[in-house]
Amino acid sequence: MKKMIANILVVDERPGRAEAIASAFDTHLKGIDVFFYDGESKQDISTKLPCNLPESISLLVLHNRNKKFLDYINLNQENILVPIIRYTGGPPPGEEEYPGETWVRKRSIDGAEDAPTGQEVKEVLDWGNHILEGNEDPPIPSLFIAPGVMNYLPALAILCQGYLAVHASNGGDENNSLKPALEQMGWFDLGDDREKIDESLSKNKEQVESANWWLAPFGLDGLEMDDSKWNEFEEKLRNEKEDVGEEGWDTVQKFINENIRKGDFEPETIANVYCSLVSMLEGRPCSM
Amino acid sequence: MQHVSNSWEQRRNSFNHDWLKNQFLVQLNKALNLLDDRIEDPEFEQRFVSDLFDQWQKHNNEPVAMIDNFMLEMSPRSLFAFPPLSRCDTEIRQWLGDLVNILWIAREPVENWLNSIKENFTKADDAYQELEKTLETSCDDIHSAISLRPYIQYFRNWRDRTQELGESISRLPHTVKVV
Repeated sequence: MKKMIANILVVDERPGRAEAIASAFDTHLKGIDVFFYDGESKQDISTKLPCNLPESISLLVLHNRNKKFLDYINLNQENILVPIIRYTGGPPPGEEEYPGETWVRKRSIDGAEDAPTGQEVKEVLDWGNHILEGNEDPPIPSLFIAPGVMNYLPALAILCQGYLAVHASNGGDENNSLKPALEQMGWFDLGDDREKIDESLSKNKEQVESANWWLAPFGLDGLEMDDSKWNEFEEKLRNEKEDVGEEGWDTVQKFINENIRKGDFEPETIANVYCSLVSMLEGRPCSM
Repeated sequence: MQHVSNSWEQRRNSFNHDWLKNQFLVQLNKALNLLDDRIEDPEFEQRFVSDLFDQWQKHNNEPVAMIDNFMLEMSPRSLFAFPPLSRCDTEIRQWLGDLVNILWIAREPVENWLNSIKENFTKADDAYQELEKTLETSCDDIHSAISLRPYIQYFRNWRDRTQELGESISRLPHTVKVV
């Protein structure tokens, strides 16, 4: 019979954090029992009532300071070691640290706000099922991968903000197709600052509509340059893409290869690219 | 997502995670257990009040510095100090930097985050001052759990306010939020 994750236990004595992490798993996974132990009591997250833990646990999520708990729990399921995911509220370990152990390396889990997202939880479940099946080379969840340094995608998003703000200050904020992007970047929340900004930004229209707006920061020196520079630029963005969500990448890639290269910029395209960057960097769609 | 400078995040980790939550609060909780008569540790009993006071005095200027530096270092404007955005013209760096900063403040509850830390720090420091003054004027022997026991509610108040300070610092984002 196929082995699957049947239940998950989160162990963390920091007030509220075990419950928040357990809740993230429970919200996004159906048919799996999720328990947590916060140093005071063992609870079933679905009832929030104290309970006894099942005889065997399929997946253990453990704050590193509570590793003594490992001495008290059965971590062997029919001779298969139960996968353990460790995390810390401090700086997450790099790729080379703690070889042989599974750590949340993407970020520190310092508070309830850092609990895994729906996508992260699903990746972890998929990984855990592979481990229980005895697969020695399971797909690695993004939560376990230390992020690289990211410069190009955030810079592209900032250039989009500048472009869109200038267009908005020239009346573009009436354009419905720009509104989700403008809303997301905070344009409609500016309040009293808006009038001053409108005045100073409206004169920058020519600047943001030139190809140089998109080229100069990335060291690209004009539309006639050779392919190697373009390839290098695209490769850097592609490398950064590996650390974030895939959704939205097609739009960004098309923008680089077609629009930037051809000097073809329309406000609707930039708004679309901005929202794609939001999906990639934040894992959620633009607001509205 | 990391960006090229994460020194603010390192300082936050050093204060909030390494010292406040995993050193100071651990000792303060141990002190409360001692005063509650749940544990015995004569050596700890002798020194914990002075140790905790010394530690607080040594570190209590750090939250204010963190608040000041947060606006500088965690605003997306900080990205203009590094490539690729540092390659923009000076004029663009100025207006676009100002713009992304003001959008960030409009978009994120930056003021709420920082006000909450300020308020919680003031409360924690007030709780410390109150405890110190009370012990100075009323407690016969700060090296004795029996003498300190009548003041346990002051210690609890200091612990609770300090925990709230730690939680409010934890709520700040770990990375520069750009979008």
